[in-house]
Amino acid sequence: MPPAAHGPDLGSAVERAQRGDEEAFAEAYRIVHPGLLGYLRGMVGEDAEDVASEAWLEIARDLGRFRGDAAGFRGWTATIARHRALDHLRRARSRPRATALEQDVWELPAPGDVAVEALDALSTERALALIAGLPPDQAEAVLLRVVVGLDGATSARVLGKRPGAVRSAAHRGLKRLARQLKGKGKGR
Amino acid sequence: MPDEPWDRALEEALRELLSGSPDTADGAPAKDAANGADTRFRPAREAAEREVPARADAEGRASGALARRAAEEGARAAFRAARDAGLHTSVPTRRRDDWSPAAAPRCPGSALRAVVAGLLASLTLGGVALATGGLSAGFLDPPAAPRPADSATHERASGPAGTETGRPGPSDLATPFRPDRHPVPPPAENREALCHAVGLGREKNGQRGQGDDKADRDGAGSTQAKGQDETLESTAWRRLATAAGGEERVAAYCHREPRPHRAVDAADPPAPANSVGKPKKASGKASKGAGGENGNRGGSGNGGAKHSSGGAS
Repeated sequence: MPPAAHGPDLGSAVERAQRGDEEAFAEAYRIVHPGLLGYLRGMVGEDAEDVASEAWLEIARDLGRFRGDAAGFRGWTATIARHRALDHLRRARSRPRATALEQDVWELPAPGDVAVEALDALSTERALALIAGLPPDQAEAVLLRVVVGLDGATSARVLGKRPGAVRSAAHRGLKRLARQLKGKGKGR
Repeated sequence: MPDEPWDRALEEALRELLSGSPDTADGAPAKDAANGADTRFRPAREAAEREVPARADAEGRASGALARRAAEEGARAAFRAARDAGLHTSVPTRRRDDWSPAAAPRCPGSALRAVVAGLLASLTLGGVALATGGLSAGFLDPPAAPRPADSATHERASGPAGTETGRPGPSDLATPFRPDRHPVPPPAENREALCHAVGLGREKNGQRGQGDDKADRDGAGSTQAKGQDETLESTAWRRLATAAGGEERVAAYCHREPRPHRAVDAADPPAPANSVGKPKKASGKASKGAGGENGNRGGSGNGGAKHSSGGAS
């Protein structure tokens, strides 16, 4: 399963925050926020920061409702962020990740024909654009697994799908990314 | 499958690139992870946090860092407001807020699927039970019938068949029919082929009156076989008489009355001994006469056995 990235202190930070410790809340924020932001970038592009702010307002407000451990907290926050992102997309009526950025990705000089090497040459934005260019279900599964660091079951609950479906979507997404990166590395 | 080597490597690379913090558990401090949504900005960000940047491009990056700090401050403010309003203690946990391992549903609809799967399984097993019940009714009959024949050609019978002969029917009923499957066909084939060839098969089946469709098929087959080859019949009759231990015993032999045969066996040991080699040849020849019928029967028997064993597993 992806990362054991649920640091040992996230769970306790959440607990302390629920008892009113602001520093503990800030600690939890700093642990969780980068992953959420990456996920939101994949979802809504440049508006990710705004959507993340909305999400954190809701997280801060509803913190008392939450029950669970560190992994659960990641899942819970990802679900909130996702709902905010979907609201945002509904308002915007489209996926802002345009093909322009995606095309831009292919302009990169690929350093080698290995997907990982090709990826190393990408900027964060371009890599996110690349992921956002995947079919939506694959993109989200990859983002939740890779960027947010959720395991299969938690991703499944966030997405409201079966774990097997989410796992295979993530797998197909990664495979497709690797194929694209490899292909481009060889082609240019 | 989901974790091929390249897959994992790519995943790691992506994670590092996208989150700016490969793994907080790997020792990367949380502070680093907090600001590191964009790896390119990391050195500049640290500089920006230490001192007021002098250069213009550093200023732009510093504004990014400031924006991140502002975002964090916004979250903190929301936290304080909610806490001070008592929201963190007074509001109930909704289902969607409960992510504790015990309470969290692993996936929506799993309970429903479990129920459906259980129903399907019970239906399937019930079907199998019915099927095996039906099969065993059809299957346990022939073994019970051939056994006397087996005893008639006792010495010829192979080991397993020999062990079968002494066993009474009821105990066999309780056992799976698989053990019966292999030893039974040869004697049954011999006797039935011979009986059919001389026209006693139909009569026998009619008398047996089991009423199962196999018996019907046997009857039809024997009629056909009888009509087909008259010359074989006389040969078959001789062989049958030899196998039965005398012409007057043929009827009993074909009617599968076990006791007379046992009596015959006991009273007249040489007769079965004579029959040792001959039934085999006879079966070969007679099966030409009743070939279609025997083939069908064997086929259905095997098919049924396969079904039953498949169902049992």
